[in-house]
Amino acid sequence: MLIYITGLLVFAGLYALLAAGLNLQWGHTGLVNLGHVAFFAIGAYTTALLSRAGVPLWLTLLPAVVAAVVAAYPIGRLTLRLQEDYLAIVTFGFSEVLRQILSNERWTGATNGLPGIPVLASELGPIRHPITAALVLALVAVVLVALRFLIESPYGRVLRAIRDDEDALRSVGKAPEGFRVTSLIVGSGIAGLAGWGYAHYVGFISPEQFAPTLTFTIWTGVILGGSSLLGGTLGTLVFVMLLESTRFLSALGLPIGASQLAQVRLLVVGLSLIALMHARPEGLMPYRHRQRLVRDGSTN
Amino acid sequence: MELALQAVANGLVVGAMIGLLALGLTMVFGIAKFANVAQGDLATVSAYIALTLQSVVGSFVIAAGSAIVVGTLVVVAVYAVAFRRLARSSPVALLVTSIGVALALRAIVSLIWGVRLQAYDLPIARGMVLGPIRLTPTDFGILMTSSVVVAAIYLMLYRTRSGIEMRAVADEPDLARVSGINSRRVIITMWIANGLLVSVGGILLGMKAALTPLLGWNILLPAFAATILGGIGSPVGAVTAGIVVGVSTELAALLLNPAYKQAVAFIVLAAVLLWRPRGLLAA
Repeated sequence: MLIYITGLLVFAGLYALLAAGLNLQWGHTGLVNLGHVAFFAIGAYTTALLSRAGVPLWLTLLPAVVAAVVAAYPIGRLTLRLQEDYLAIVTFGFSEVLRQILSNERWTGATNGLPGIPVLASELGPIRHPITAALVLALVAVVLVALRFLIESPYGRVLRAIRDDEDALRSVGKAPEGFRVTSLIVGSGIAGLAGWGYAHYVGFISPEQFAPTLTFTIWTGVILGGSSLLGGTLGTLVFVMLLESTRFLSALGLPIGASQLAQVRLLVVGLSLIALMHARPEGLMPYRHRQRLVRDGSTN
Repeated sequence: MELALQAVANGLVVGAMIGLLALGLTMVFGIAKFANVAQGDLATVSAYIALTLQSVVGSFVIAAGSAIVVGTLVVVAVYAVAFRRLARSSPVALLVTSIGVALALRAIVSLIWGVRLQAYDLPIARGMVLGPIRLTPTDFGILMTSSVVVAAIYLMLYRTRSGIEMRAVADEPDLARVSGINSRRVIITMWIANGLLVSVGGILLGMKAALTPLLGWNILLPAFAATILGGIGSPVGAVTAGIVVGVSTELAALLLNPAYKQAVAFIVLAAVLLWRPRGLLAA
């Protein structure tokens, strides 16, 4: 039971990290990154390959993040002068191609994946689970605090200006290109970090764990919650729980087999996206800028 | 050499199907101004409708013909339900909605027809040998059908009033509106044309390969690559580029692991974005 609860906490933390990365990209900058899962996979595979080669876990954290950042950089550069649609297509393509490479190359274990990845705190026996959960949640806290500083900073304001009105941003002499690339790579680095945690908790990774459905699940959660850090995180966690709860449909007497469960979840993701974009595209808890002027005694 | 010629022939067949989807994508891009991620899954729906109709009526030609009509109606219905009310939203909102449509359609197809491989009941016929190249009657059927459909769409775009209105809305939506063009009618015409393209494309894909719920999704990336390679909004470019993408992926499959066909399409796409971001045929 303890292992079950701590497992839930670890996965909640990993989802929160993925949501935080996408929230910076989509919620604050308006970037349509349809390949989020690819950067998660890059983080996981980088750390898995390094640690299976004997590198200590702690030394693989930075390479996992850096690998995701390095993969995101050329994608950002390639599409930075183009419309948003292009980034969507390129990131989607990148994620599909990466999954094919992971499924076919011998050094990534092909479809069999990479087993035997060292897990966190393995020498501690069963209490490794709560310790890993604490560790992942600490990582989430660090990332969210850092992101809070980032989005409240002048840099964060520029990102939202890119999202809301790029022409206005240009008219005040700021070039959006560089900001878009940094937003993309920071968000992808956070996904890489989540990949590191994932690989060292489950101990086994394979390409099928990095299917595009995960990207779209996180997307729906972030859109549901809105661009505030709390909203994006809670939205994702609530939505993932909703998807998880579909497993109880069969207990209610509905004729849904195990193989249909995945399709029902896909249907829920798809219909939720359509409904949200119609009813509340900004989500339930969108980011609102704090009115500093009011505190200074003047109003706008 | 013979292998290369055969690969070029196969590439033409694959490229014709990519071109159909890319032509539709470029029209949606041009008129409705968004990247339609659901394009592949709309094709899948028509492919499965044809499968069911064939089990009812027996004749594949009648089943495919009716499935094109039903599939086109499905595409127009999807527009009415999912996209119509977002006409004033940002392209990104429409794109995200189209992801939702894609996932929902794939789930519905999987729930109705199951995820196992299925195939049309097509007559088994010997391949035709043309010099060093061997093509099956199915391949010929695909080439002929897609040529006819592409020709029909071109005639519509360049020779009829609604086609000219459509191109006017794509180029200058405001100017088109002040000159009295009914943009709603144009948009519906565009979705009907796109419905025809994805339905034919999906059924042809199903003739060439086995039907799975991922049938159309798997060709989405090459179709996007062709749309961009041909220059977004360019109908001639989309079809030409579809064939370029088809031939280059089949040729590359001779050298690389055939599993990397999509990777080749992606590299073509990246190269175009790097050197000719507005497409090869852009002025």
